[in-house]
Parts: sequence; C-alpha cells; structure tokens
Amino acid sequence: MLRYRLMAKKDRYRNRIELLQGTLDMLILRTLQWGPQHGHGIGQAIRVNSEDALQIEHGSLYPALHRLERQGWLKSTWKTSEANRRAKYYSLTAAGKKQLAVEHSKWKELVSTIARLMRTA
Amino acid sequence: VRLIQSMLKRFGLNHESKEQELEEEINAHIAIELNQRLEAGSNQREAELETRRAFGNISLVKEVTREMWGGATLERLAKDLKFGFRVLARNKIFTIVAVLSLALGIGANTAIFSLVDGLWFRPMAVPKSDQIVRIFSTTAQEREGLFSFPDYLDLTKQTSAFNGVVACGRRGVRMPRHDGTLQLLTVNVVSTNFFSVLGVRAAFGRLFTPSDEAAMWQQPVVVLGYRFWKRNFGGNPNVIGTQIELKRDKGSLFTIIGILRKDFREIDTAEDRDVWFPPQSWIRLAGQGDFQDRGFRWFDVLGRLAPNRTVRSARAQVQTIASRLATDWPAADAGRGATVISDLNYRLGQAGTNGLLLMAIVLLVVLVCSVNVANLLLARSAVRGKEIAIRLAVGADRLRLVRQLMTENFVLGMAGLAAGLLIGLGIIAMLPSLVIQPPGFEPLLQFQFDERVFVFSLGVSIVTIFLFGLAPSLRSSHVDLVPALKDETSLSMGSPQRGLRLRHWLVIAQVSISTTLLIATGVLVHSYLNTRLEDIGIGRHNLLLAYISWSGDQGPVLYRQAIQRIRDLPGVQEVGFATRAPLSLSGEGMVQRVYFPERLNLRNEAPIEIDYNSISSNFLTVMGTALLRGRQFTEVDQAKGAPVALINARMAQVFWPGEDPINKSFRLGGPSGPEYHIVGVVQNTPINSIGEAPKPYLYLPYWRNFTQEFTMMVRTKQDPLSLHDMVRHTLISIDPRLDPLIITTENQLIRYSAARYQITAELVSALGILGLILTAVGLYGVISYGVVQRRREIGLRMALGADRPEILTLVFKEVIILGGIGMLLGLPMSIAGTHLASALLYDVSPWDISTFIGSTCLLSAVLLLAGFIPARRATRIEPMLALRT
Repeated sequence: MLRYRLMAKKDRYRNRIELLQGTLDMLILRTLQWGPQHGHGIGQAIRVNSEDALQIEHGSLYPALHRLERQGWLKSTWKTSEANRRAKYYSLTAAGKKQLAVEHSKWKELVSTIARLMRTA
Repeated sequence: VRLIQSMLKRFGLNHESKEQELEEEINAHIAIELNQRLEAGSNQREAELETRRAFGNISLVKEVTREMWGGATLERLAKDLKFGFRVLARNKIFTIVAVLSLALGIGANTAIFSLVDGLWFRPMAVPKSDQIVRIFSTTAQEREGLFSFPDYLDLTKQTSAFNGVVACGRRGVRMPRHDGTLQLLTVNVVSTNFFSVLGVRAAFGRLFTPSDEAAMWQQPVVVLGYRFWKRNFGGNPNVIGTQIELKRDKGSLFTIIGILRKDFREIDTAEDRDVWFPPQSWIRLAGQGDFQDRGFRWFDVLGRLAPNRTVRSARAQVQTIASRLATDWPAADAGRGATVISDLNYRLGQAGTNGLLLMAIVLLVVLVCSVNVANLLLARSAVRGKEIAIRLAVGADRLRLVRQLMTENFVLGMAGLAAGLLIGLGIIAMLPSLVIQPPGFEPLLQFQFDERVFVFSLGVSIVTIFLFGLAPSLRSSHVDLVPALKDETSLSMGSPQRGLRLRHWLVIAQVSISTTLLIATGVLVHSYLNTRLEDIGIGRHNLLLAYISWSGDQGPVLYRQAIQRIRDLPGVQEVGFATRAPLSLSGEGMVQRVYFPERLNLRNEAPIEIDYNSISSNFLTVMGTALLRGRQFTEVDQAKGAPVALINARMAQVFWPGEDPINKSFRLGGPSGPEYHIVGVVQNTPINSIGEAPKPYLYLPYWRNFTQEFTMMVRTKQDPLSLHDMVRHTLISIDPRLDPLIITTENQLIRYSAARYQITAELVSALGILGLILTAVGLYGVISYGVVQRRREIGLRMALGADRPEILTLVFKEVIILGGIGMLLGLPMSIAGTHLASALLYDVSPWDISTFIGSTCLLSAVLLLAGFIPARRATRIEPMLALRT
C-alpha cells in the first residue's frame, strides 16, 4: 500500500514538472518583466494573474529558476524582502528578455496552430 | 584565493555555499508563505501544514534543483564516493572478502596476461608494427619455412608489394673470456636494410644501413643487443668504436658501432639476441657458403607492407615470384612456394593452444571471482534492504540510488584492482623462475608490468564490476517496501524471492566452472607427470653432459684423452659420448641421405632424409635406452669391418614392416655409397623434443662418423651437477679449447624440453586451486545466508522436535542440490575443455577417467566442508531465541 501511494505521488510530481516545462519558463520570464522578484513572489504572481487557474506546487518553481539562471536568462541578488527577511531576488538579463520574446512568439504560434486544428476537427 | 573561488564557482564546485543558499532560499519562501497565511487568519498548526503541502516534497525539490546546477555530477560523485567508503568501512568482512576475491582474480589475470603477452602477444617494438608481415617459404609439408639468402635477394628484387623486405638468420658464435675460455653468444645475421626498414633505432652509436656496405667489406662491424651490452660491458657507452673478438671455425675482430635500444630485442617476442651481424661481417666467420648456397635456408624474412597493399595482394605477388624461382632453380627450389601472413597472425599461431588455453582458464577464474562478488553484493543488498527501503520511502530517486550503489561498487572495484595489481606484480616477479631457461644460456625472458598489462587489468575490473555489480544494484532499488520495513523474512523453504534463486544459480555457475578448472588441472598435471616419470628411454641415470665443438685436426686425439681422464675422476661410473645428446639445444639438422638400392619398392624413390646420431659403444647403456633386438656396437664396429648401424623401432616399422630388420642393409650418401648393415633395433626415444611423434632414427658408430662436435655423457654416482666444476677444469687442463660450451644434465634437457607441459601444469593448477577456494567461499556464503534467513524456520522445526541430524540434512540438501547441478553442468564443459587442450597432453587421453573422478571427489569434499560450517551453525540455533526475534 505504502509503496503504491509513494509511487503515485512521485509520478504525479514528475508529470507536473514535465508538463509545465517550457510554459513555466515563459511564465517566469514574463512575470519578471515587471521587475525583480523572489521565488515566492513569482509563484504568487502567476497564481494571481491566472486567477488561480494555474495551481503550481510552490517547490516546482525552484528547479526552473535555477535552470534559467544557469542558462543566463536570470540573475539573482540577495535583498531584504517586504517581511523584513533576506530573500533571493531574480531579475531578467538582456538574454532573458530576448528569450522571453522568442518563447512568446513560439507560444503564440503554438496556440494559433492548435486553435486551427481544433476548428477543423 | 578569490580567483580560485570564482573558478570553483564556475565549475559548480563551490557547492558548500550554494547548498546553504538553496536552504536559505527555501526557508525564506516558507517563512513568507507562513507569514501570509497567519496574517490571513489561520492558526499556527494549520498554516504550517498548508504551507508544506503547497510547497511539495522539499528534499525532492532540493535534489532536482541541485541537478539544475550542472557540474553537480562531480560533486555528487565525490559525495557518493565518500558515502561508499563509509559503507565499505562499516561492513569490514564483506569488504575484505569482496576485495580479496576481486584482487585474486585480477592478480591472476594480470600475471597471466603479462606472461602470455611477454611470450607471444606483444608486437615488435618498431613504429607502425601493424605493417610488418612475415614471408615464409612453403612446401607440401612445411607451412612456415625459412629462406636461403639467394632466394631472399631474388624476392627483394622482384617484389613491389613492400616498403622493404628484410632477412634475419639466427646463429651462434663464441667469445673468448678473459681467462681464455669461451662463452656462447646468440647472433642474428641480418640484411643491411634490416634496421632502417623496420625503424629500429640505436640507444648509443649507430646502426648499419645499405649505404655502409662498401665500407663494411673493409672494416667488419657489429651491433650489440642492449642486455648483452649491459651484462658484458656494464652499460659503458665507450665500447662504441672498440673491437670485439668473436669466433666460429675461425676468429676475427669486429668493430662495435652501436647498441640497440632496450625495447627492441628480436623479431620474436620472447627472444633476445647478443650480437647483430651484417652479411659482410658474418662472411669473415662463416665464409661465403652461408649466403651463396640456394639450398641453405636459414633466414626469417619480414616485409613492411607498402601503403595501399594488403596481406592478400602481397601474398599473391610473393606466390608468383616463388613459382618463378621454382622454375628457374629446380635443383634447390622445385616444389617450393611462398606465403605472406601478418605478424599478428604469426604471433597468434605461435601462442597456439597453450596461450589461448591459459587466457581462457584465467578468464574462467575471473568469472568465478566476479560471481563471488556478485553473490556478496546480492547478499548485502538483502541485508541493506531496509536501509534502501527507508531511503526510497523518504523520496530518494531510484536512478540516483542505483548510481550511488554503483559508486560503491566502483570503490570496491578500484580497491580490488589496486590489491590485484599488487598480487599480480608479485606473481610477475616470480614468473621468470617458473619459465625454464635453456641450460647454458643467459635467461631470455623478462616479464614486465607495463601500460599494456595495466590497461588490460583495468578493463577486466571495470567490466567485472559493471556486469556483476549492476544486477544487484538494480535489484536493490526494487525492494518491496512494506515487508522490508516491517523486517519480515520469508519463512518458507523455497523462498519466492528472486534474489535467492539468482544467488543459487550463481553458485551453480561457480561450481560448474570449478569442475571444469579442476578437471583441466588434473589432466594437465597428469600429462606433465608423465613427462617426468614415464620411461622415455633416455636420462634414467645421473648424467652430466659436456658439449664441445672443436675446430682443428687434433679433435679425436684430444677427445680420447678427455674420455680417459674423466673416466678416472672420483664419483664417475661410466663415460659415454655421441655427437649430440638427445634433446640437445642444437636443434634439428643432423640428417643422412639414405638409399635402399636393394629394395625394389624403394629403389627409384628420391633419397630419404633420416635424422641420426653418432654414438659410443656404451651409449645405449649410459643413456638408458633399451635394445629391443640384436646387439649394441662393439669397439670393433667403431674402428673397422663392415659398416654397421642401429635403427629405432619406428624406422624398422616404416621400412621393414612385418620383417626382421636385422642384417638388412641400406646405403648412405648415394645409391652407391657405403652399405650399412643393421645389427640392432632400439626403442623409440624423443630426439628433438618431448612429446614429438616418433620419427625414423639412425645410430652410427661415433669414431667412423666423426664430426667436430662431441658431447660427453658422464654417468655419476651422486648429483651430476656436483661434478660440474671438476669436469670442466679437467677438460681445460687438457686443452683450454676443450672448455665445454654447455655443461648441463640430461634431466635438465628433459625438463627444458617438457617446459611447456610444466609451465602450463603449474599455472593451471594454481588457477584451479584458486577457483576451488573461491567457489568454496561462494557456496559457504550462500549457505550461511540461507541459514540466517531461515533461522525462524529452523527454530520452529527444532521446537517441534526435529533433531540435529534432521537439521543437518535440511541444510546439506541445499549443498548437495547446488553442488550436484553445478558438477553435472560442469562435466560437458570439462570434456569440451580437455578436448580443446588435447594438443598439450602428453600420453593422457582427454577422457582420463581417473582425473575426472579424482577432481569431482576433491570438489565434492571441499564443497561439503564449505557447507558443513553453516550447517553446524544451524544445529546450534536456540529455538526459543530464534522464534522470539
């Protein structure tokens, strides 16, 4: 029993990351367009802006953030947050801004393609 | 320092701080979230739970995030290594047994590879050695014949397939020592282009080239081999330009122009030559005949393939040239062809069954070792099932876990490799004493531990660990969590766990390999003992041999004087003599052309070449060769009267089948040559090597067939070698030139001749015993493990009234089943193995029943013993204790 519950949980977690990969990258970059933000803030912004339609497990943001930073699209600094607490703030780099444009246009293309497909079906 | 730090950061190595940062980042996230929830009006407990739920699995998030850092693999590896070391240090017994198992396998492997490599596999130390091919003269009977110098020159002129063709002939010379006595040196006579075509370089001085030919006619030169130079000149480079006196029938002075590099010793892997002559120098010692006689074939010929040429196309061309030579020079070359084979194929052919058998057996031993380690790993994964289950339960990644276990195996493997190399080095140091050197010569072989051997051993250990570590690791990562966590072990006998069954099969595999190894060992040892113990018709007595080669006309007088003086020495029983001793190292060569003009069926046949020896009248008695019919020579036969001869049984059988050959006759040298009457038939004895098929053989009276060569056979009361110095000094006191070139014993010659049987037998028995021990350890491990697993069952049975014999039977049943299946599977393997090795067997059938029975009995005994220890432990189980825990 325990074994199956564990397995199911892990797989669900994996799928979510895989599903959101790419899309999540774009959402993060988009959110940071408005200025530096820490991980918690980014997650909250995505949830609020999607009017809670996108429920992202908070933790899953961090692998994505670290990957984007490694790719040079984000940079980070430690600053004191609103709650008077040190937090890691991410902001877009020049490359990140370009990447956002690229991903956005790709996304639009994908959406229009899928929309066309759905119409013909 | 900052630079280093930034560099470390770049390569993702500065993870200490990165780890802290991630920790802090996540803590900040949780703090902010918690804060928000508290502000929204949740109570502390609810807020905390909700925060955690929303965040997800923290340790998994951390782990996945770490993977994003890239370069993290390195750090993770370091961590895994550290953990691996800790785990191995904790399970000392496991680690020691596993490492020892691996080390023995790898050590044996390293040593055998170094031996086989040193004997056969190592390519010649020349640039682009893969272009080197061997060119052989062939006849219907001979596939790898040598060339005469005129044939070699014609071949060189007519071929276009090679970037140079070289010739290399093996001879011997004598070098006077300071005290006037002579030392035997090995010589290669090589074409002047030999060094430049092969790309051999000098350590000091220079080597001769074709452009030196004119100068060398004026001033004869030689090149020295590296080890000879070290030995005789103490490695002094100033010998270059000095002269050295060398003798054959006559003597001459030669200028030393260079020393070969250490790594180039000869064209054959295991050889080493003292002095290298160009033809221009050799003529001074041996005369023109060695180079002008088209029928005198004593040159190995090698070529360097031209680019864009293949062995096959070169062979076609060489064959055409050979058939042209056969037409042009029918007297010498009729019926001769030629062939080209790559040097690698040539060396593999030399290695033959012996080399391949050794490699096969050592790989079997490695297999037994590996199976042992696999079994240990399986046992441990069962023991560690709980740890692994816990780690999986708290969200460890399965792939990550396998990687971690494999890292542990890697640590184990490397420890095994290190210990194995040490063991291997030890054995390599012992190898030269195992290899029997030709009596009277400097030791030839050196076994080295070098990068070839290292790479081979490394490869073997990595393959071993990967192959045999991966399965247990994968299995471990698929632990059934619930029973593992609840500490349940199965109670039933035929446990449904796959792990146990796999372990059983592994032991069965070990037992069957062990059976094969032991039977192979038994057959080879039996064969070797035959070479030692069987009456081969020679050397049954204590026989000291002194080989003398005299140049001059006083030979017979001095030899007679020597016989007289030696006969009078204390401790000497009898002195016999002959041109050469049986199995002497001068090799083949003494033949008589025999004609049978009186026999109708043989009258018009071509002359038949038959090996012969000239012997003293008491030769058969001294040697211990049995006379089957007729009589021995008398002193009268040695001096006058009608010429008489003795023949061996094989000759009688071939030429006078079903007849009595006594008083039959043949002629020597020509159809009208002297007529010899046969007075006796003697048993077949080995002539050139132990284990050869009997050939027709002739014995002639020594004094009437005198050659310059003389071998004295001194039969002694005690150990013949104790008379070594006395015999030598007596001979020198007659004339310093009687100093024997070789003093040895017939038994040493036999031992040398049987060397291949002995080495193979020694090595294979060592490996066989190693395999047996490892198999016993493997079986012991599995049975012990089974007893531990079944503690409760055994306790229960005892509580219900089973007595000790019953429990013993219970455990032994397993031993017998495993051992029995293993041995049954091993038998067909053994039969196949002994048949493959039959080329190496001396007077033993591959079906040698006694060996089969003996080996299986030994194996059964060892296996029962290995099973007995855990079985006894099973009977000591306290039922109450076993049931309670």
